[in-house]
Amino acid sequence: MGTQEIEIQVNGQPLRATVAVEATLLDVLRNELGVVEVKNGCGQGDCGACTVLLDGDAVNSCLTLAVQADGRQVTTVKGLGSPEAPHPLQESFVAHGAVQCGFCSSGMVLSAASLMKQNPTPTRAEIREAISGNLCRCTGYTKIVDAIEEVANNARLLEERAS
Amino acid sequence: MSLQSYVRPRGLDDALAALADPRTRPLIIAGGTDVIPAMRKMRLGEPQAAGDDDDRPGVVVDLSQLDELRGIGEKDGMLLIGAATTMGAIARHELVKDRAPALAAAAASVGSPLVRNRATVGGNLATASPSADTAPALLAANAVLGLASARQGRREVSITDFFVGYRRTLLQPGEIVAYILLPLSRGLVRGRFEKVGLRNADAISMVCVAVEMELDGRVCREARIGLGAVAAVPVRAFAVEAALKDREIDEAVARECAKLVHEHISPIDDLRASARYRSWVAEAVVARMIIDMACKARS
Amino acid sequence: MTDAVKPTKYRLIGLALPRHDALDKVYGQTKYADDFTMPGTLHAKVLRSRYAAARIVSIDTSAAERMPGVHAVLTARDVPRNETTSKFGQTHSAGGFEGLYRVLADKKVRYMGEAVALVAAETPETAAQALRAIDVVYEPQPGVFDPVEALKPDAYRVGEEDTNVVCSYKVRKGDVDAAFARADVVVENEYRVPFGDHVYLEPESGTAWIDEDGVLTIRASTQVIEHFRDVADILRLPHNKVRVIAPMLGGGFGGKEDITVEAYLALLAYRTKRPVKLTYTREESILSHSKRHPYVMRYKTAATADGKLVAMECELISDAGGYPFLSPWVLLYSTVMATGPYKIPNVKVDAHAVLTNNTFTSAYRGFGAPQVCFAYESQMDAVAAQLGLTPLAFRMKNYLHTGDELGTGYALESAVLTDETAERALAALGEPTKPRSPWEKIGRGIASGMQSYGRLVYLHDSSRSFVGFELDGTVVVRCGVQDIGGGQTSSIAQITAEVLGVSMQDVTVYFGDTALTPLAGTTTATRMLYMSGNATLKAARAVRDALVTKAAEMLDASPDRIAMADKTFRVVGDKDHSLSLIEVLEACASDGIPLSNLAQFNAPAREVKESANVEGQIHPDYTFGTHAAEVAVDTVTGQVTVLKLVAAFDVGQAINRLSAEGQLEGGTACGAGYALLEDVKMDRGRTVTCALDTYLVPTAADLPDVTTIMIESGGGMGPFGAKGIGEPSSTSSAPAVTNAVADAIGIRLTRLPVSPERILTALKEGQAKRDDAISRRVPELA
Repeated sequence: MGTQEIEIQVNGQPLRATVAVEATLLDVLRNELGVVEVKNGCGQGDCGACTVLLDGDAVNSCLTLAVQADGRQVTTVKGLGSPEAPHPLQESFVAHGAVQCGFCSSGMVLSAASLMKQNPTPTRAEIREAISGNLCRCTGYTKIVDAIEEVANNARLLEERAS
Repeated sequence: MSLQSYVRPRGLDDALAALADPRTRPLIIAGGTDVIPAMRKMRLGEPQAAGDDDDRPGVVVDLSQLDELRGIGEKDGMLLIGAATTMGAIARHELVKDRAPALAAAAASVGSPLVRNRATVGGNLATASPSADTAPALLAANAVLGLASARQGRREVSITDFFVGYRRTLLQPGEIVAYILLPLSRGLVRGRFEKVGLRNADAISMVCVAVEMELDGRVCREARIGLGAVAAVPVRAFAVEAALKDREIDEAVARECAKLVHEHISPIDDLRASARYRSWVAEAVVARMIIDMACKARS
Repeated sequence: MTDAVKPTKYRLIGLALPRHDALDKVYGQTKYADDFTMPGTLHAKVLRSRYAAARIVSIDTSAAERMPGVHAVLTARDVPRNETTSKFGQTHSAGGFEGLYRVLADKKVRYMGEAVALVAAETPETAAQALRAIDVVYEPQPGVFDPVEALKPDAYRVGEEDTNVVCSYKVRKGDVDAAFARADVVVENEYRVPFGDHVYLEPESGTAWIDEDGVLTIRASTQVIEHFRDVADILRLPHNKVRVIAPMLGGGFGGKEDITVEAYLALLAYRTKRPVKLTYTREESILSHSKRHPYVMRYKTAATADGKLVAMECELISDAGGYPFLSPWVLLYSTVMATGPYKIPNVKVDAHAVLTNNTFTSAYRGFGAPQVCFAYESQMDAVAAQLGLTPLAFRMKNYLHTGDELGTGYALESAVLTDETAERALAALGEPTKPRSPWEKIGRGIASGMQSYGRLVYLHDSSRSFVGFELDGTVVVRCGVQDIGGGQTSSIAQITAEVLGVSMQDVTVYFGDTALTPLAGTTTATRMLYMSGNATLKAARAVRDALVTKAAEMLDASPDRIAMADKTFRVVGDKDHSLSLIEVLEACASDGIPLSNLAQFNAPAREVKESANVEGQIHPDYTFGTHAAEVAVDTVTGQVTVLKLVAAFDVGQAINRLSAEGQLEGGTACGAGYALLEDVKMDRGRTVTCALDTYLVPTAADLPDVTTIMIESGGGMGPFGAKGIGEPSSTSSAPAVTNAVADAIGIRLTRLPVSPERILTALKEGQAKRDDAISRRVPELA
């Protein structure tokens, strides 16, 4: 089994590891680098619990080899916001009751953030499509959509005020 | 195979050289959305049977960052798509949505948004799953695939020749799909894609259909129909196309022509659907698409 | 999307409040079981049977044991007590019935995925290699894979008994045969529902180690920390030498109710004296853990022309899989709730749980009620159609009310508002959606359900909670709740804050630790709010009373004139004199008055009868509600789009409005998945759908918004009159969807899931039957 030294920028911090060529980004984040806010729900791209932003694009980290992330930027939910500097999506999720067991939340919030970047004022249908790769078994998705929609509405208000 | 190293070539020629290196066994990866689950299944399942004598070290050759293989543009009235272009990029692109709508819809239907940020059209074709969603759209567009290898250089093939058997293509060892060329639809040509899955996201097609029709009022001047998940390879429904040629479309004509789809499909039972269901749906969806497209063209 | 918010008579109870655990989770700070690391941890893996039914001839672990980096290889002979039985009273014949649970397969394997051996090694890869080096010689047996087949006298014997029947129950009320004879409408159908997987996003995981005091400690994703007793018994250790800690779970739904990884971890940690971690892959989770019971349900329902139900006869056969686990309990629930929330003078139920060599079945949200709800709500629509009544009108003539008796003879004591939930659920569907194309058919359906909350009264359930003030006025709660995502710990903080007049931020809850938190009981059976909520309420009130008494003394007033709010005590009507919370706390501390209280809440308890006849009170109480659905069916492909979903429930009193709505919305989604998508396919005991690309659950693109209507009767037995909603919210959801499909296509499908193929096949067969009928309307010659 061959290995390679890689360096990944995780939430702006350079992290180094020596990884097996076949190791996924998910494996390395969790098991080598201690980045455990990225969750393992299925290991093959069907649940979205492992979502990270790779150079800004929301992807399944279980479908990316760690070596493919060498020299690239990875953003996890901790890079999106923190208690000191919360992201509006994080605040909205909590305010709307969109977090129950929370296992999907790290990934869900990142998919939502990715959507807002591409489409700051999505419809509810567009929201649902954007998070369709993130399974949730607790909420039935309604409050997650509510939470994202509120952030979108606030963005819409800002847009209207600006114009 | 034991994966010893990973290379991320800077240019296409470097990539092709890596793929042709006789000392190593290359594993091509782009988006990884087919390759990595396959690696996982192998790792979790029984160890490789003792029949694999190839003990050359495995090298992962990453094509995903090659600019020469990415991008969407126009060239001589054709749409030129780099093979390592993601499904997401294809689905969002204004030119594709406008002038190759069946392909845009097909790309938009693959997996989930997360998968679409990685999965590539070249990978979709090279994996050659019978249910590859972009294949029917490219078949209906009569796409041409640009292939490249160190040994054979560059060549172009018609997509209708590309799939040679169940999960097999005519790609030679060390050869990759480099680009896809398809005509930009103009004038009276309409394109549509429909995917029948068990749910609305992250679903493998039970049947998928792409139709391109040149419609003069309700008269079909020419039609091309691609189908997936209903045979060992994605197929063109030539008999349906021939029957539609120069016919004035109404519901009865559409249904009559759609019946001929059975000459081209040989669906199987699997855990998503039975062969019988696929047969019913292939015919009925083809008929519906023709009817809907002809009606829309009229209004 | 909710009903208008009514003003609440409480300060905090009933409000839409953010949960403290939600904050940690959304910032990625919450540590779930697999997120914990300890130095020196070994990695465990489980060798599982490749056969569904086989004798084990021999197991040779020597090669695995010799592997470098392997620290332990265990088989059944290494387990001090490999078999656990739990005695359960009601049975098909007199005498106690023994439910068997085996840690590692011994002479025989009874389902594919059964654990045969355990390995602990330095790395997961080494552990996997060690598994491959264990040589197990199996002698495959024919096995039996259908519960109806397994009932036959010559069927393969799954266990050691001379029968595959785990247990049987019956209900007898009145005379169904006489009632059928005089009824105007009789509808008979057979319903079948499949295996289901919980698909909690977090696969099973845990770590075990021996702490500095020699206590075997297991931190695992579990709904039941009380399994420490079972683990202790398995290792033949004293109970006070085993500790289980449950961190926040990434979902449970009943799948983490039985022991999953705990015993394996304990054995390996005990053997190696190192910390050991075990986390399942998703494939391993689907393959090996409990499933929802498939049922074959034969229903015969009769009514008179005036729309009154007169009789219901039910035969229920559940597939218990390879081991009983909780099958007898699940079957009992099904039996009690087999006829639904309806007044029926004549009832006959015969229910059997039968062993097969399929994956074992056990608890799954609803615990036997969703299966029968699908059957009885389908029957209700079928009978309504024969009577020429609308589904709502027929139900309204027959709903149970407070004081009415179930088939078992138990008279309902608390609020029963099914009528109102049904009317409001249907009304909330609004104007029917118009078909968007000629290929589309729209349909709507309702389904009412009843679901218990609180465990079986035979189990003499209890829960404990400790509430105490610190000297600075902040509050500590210690309570053994297992938080599976439904806000279990948050509710406790909220109840405490309400009673003690503090804010939720002032309350810290320690939870889920058998060593440090009083045991609250299982997070199952929709009992946690009811039980630990009441225990916490009791403890908080005791603390409050002690402080109020002290404050009264200090303010020279009688305690009933003291108001405690906003960290202040004052005499009602007296603006001038008040005491701060701190002052009173200090005074109590000085006078030796406890600032804390440990309270126990006991649920109603009954003695189990040694009889197969199910009679009397079985559960503490029930929650009633109705789901409504509107669907569009594509008649070309059979695909269903769910357009609208409504959940209308009497929740008694919502504690946290957001959490209550969240349960209703999530439960509704769970049922929609059951109706349309979820199907663990097994082929002679081999799970075919063993990953999430083949076992499908709804994505956000597959569901509409769920509209929730919460009625608050105040008539529940939980704190502040709350009823439990975790399971009730899901029970009637699937039949609402399937009734809508039946309404759309005019054909009733009696098997779940109602897949596109089943729908299309029914449409084509229906068409064929119509064509056939038409062609036979040619003039009769015979």
